[in-house]
Amino acid sequence: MQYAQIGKFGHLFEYRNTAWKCVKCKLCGMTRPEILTNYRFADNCPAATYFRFDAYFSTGRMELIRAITCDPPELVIDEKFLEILYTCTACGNCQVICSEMKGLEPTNAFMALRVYLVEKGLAPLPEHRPLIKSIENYDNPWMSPRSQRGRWAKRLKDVEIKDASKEKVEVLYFVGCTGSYDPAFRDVVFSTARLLHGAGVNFGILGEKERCCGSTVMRVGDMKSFVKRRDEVAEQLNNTGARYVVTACAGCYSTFKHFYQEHLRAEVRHIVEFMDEVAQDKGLEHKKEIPSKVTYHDPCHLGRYFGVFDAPRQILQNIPGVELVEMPRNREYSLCCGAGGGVRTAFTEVAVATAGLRAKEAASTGAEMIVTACPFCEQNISDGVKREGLELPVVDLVKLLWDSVGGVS
Amino acid sequence: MKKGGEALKEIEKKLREQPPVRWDLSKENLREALKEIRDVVGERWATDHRAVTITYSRDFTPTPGKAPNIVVMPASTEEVVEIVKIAHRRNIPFIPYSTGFNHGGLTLPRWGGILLDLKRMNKIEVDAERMTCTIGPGARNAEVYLAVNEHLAHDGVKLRACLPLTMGSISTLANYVARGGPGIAIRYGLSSELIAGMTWVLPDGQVLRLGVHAEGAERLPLNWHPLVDIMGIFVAADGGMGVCTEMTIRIVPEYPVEKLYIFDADDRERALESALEFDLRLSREEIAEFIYKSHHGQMAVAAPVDNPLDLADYLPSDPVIVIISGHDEEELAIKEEILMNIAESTGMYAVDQQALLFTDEPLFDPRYWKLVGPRVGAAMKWRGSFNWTAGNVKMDLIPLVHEYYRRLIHRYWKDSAPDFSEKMALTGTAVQGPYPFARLAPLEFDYWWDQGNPEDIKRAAVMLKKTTEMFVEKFKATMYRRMYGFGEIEMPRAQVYWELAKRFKAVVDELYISHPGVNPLDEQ
Repeated sequence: MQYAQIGKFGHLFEYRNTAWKCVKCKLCGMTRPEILTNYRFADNCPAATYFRFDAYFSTGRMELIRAITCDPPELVIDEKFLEILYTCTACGNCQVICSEMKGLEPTNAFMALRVYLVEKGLAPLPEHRPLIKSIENYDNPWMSPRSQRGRWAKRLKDVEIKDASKEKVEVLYFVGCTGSYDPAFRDVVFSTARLLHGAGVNFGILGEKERCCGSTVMRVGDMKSFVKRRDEVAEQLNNTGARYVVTACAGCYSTFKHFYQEHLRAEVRHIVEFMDEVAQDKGLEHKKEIPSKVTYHDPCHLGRYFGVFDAPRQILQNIPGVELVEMPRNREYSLCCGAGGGVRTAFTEVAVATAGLRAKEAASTGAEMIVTACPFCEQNISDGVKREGLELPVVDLVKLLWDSVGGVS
Repeated sequence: MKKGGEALKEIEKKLREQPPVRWDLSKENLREALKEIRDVVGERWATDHRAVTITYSRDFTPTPGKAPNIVVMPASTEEVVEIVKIAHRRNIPFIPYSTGFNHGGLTLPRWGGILLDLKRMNKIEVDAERMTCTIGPGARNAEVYLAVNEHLAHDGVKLRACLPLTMGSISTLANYVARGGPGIAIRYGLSSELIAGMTWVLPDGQVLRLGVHAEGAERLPLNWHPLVDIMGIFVAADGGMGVCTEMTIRIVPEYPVEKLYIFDADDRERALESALEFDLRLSREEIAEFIYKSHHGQMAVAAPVDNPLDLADYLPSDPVIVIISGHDEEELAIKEEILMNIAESTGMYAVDQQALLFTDEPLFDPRYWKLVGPRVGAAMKWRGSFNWTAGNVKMDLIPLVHEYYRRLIHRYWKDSAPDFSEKMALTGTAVQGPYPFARLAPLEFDYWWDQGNPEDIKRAAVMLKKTTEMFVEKFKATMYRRMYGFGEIEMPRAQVYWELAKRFKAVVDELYISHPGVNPLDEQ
């Protein structure tokens, strides 16, 4: 990656001077013109595309940072200010463009601004507070009991899953809150376990002892709570002695990679990366052909944040029958699904409208299926597909891979 | 006739004065105006919220501005008409704003008022048969280029728009209006020659349809007007005459084979003269699609490096960038031969582009020069802001201007940066056609400063002032822009248009509410 790492941010005042340097060219709101091939897909900032006012572009938010870091501040923090800040999905497109061109880190600056406001007691939004509270009380954002966290494993009869808190495993499968509780993602969780099992990997889960990684808390700016949680969870993961922590959730992956890595003894892999490595080392036998034209949506937390672009495409291309077609906005210039950064929680309409745009873009390629590798992207784009009245299934890559490898009809 | 310096001071003073009393920026008037505006565009598209309006209060230069009181995003000419009528009736100044990359205060409200953010008006309609493209102010260069490129001319050659040499995210219409002009103008003319029609909403809300936008003109050949052609008044008006809501521009063929060359002078002592002669000869031959004599160092700041000064020693002293094109390789080879002959006879040679290892491929790809300028404006990475002045003098005056500018650098910049060398300026004169009129010799000075560094700002401000004075006093350029710019004036007609424009403004904007401050059109 040539651009400054997205999502690993410092203190707000580190970005004060860079806010002055924004030239307001608004390339940050676009797909990079040099790679743009279709003018209909030039926009590439969810909030700016939806709201259109300059304030919702990265340039506008940089101006807000400039204004509130002045002495005295030129602006009062109010509801509108918070709306502008929290409609940013932190997708990182602006940073991909701007950090190479001008050395600025807008996405990181906005994350730092959220942290700053939470520290001052001015944020997050009321819509985010129940999630934070739930994570504090239940270790998940859905107010679901801890005891149900590992229940999914009991329904998976064909795979024996070890309890990593009791047995030594090489790979700890970190399921994450969405995978653990949301039945809509049961297929993804099952497929992940089956793929690991099928590849002969010695893996286990923490079951009901697994705790939220804190991604949600951190992304809305509550860094203090996050750090406390991070330390506790990291210790728990270290105690398993696992060599790898593997997750199918792009949000958990991104949080581990950025904020846990220095505290973790295990290496962190997304299941897509892990299975790509398995395929390269041992090979994967595909039992079933999946004759389908598919397009791949890069989750921001996997693609732009960590440059995982090739592994998912390689996996797709290895599935017999699959024809991969790219959307005009792909890889580091992929359009965010619209859900990230707490936007789906607080501004569902913005999130789903963005997903609708992405769904239409996918449809324009002639694809029969949208494949992705993040539960939030899958959920949000599915809603976008419905909103646009399209007939386009959204499928997790792990499920598709298992369908082929496992010969699932 | 006042001297340039005095004139400047007076303009500065005038601009800092309080708004004329007749403007009504009272809370009550603005509140009522917002209510009426929302009735026109809907609640969602108009706001007076400070967190939104403040983001329109500043551009990236230190030019002082003020947040507008109201920001509105109309979606059509009809909505603009209604908004402007409200502004006119309520005596509230207004300012148009397209994609918002501005410097020197071009779209900064001086005293507040209504800002019309025109991003939603992003229409792009191509008429391949007539070879025109109709655009709204929100249509950006990259989009216009690609939209036009989807169409073919009758002979099967792709079409393209002549874009200004700036970034892909910038409004094409605004650049045409502000005569930022097509950077690839050499073969097809200036922005004013490429404009086939415009729709303007005048400051009192009347709609003026010019050129092919006029009723009945669609049946006429391009640039044949039903009545007197007054389009020139509106080119360079920068919103001073109201709001341009739509423009039809000519589009041209994009030949399938093209090649970019960088030339430099054999003799560095005579580099400037050689480059100018080369430029002139090339223009007369009309074989080049694009000619641009760059600043010394401009290629370095466009390169993807953190400090372009590291590259200064390796750069061509007076680089001339040339693009030639043709239907096939054979045509290209013939043109290349002519090009090389001209180069040889003027003391220029083609630089080995591979030897310029500091750059990466896109800098030398013709498409990037036409689409987004050199590397989408990576130039600004180095330090921060820039401002520029550009004027028209005859080509043979360029060496003299260059020399004056060099003296200014040594005198004023060196004081604030003792380790300064001329190379550090990474700037100088630039030459761009077409000939013999208009942008015969635009002189461009770039100032790169770090806004976090007060010394840089001070130095840049002094240089801006001194360069402007130099233009006015030494070279008799006509200043008409707040941002210290001297954009292109079509020389033979300049005075006529100037007078006409002033009278026109007085009639259609008796309250002086349209874009006040930027384009005062007063005696100075």
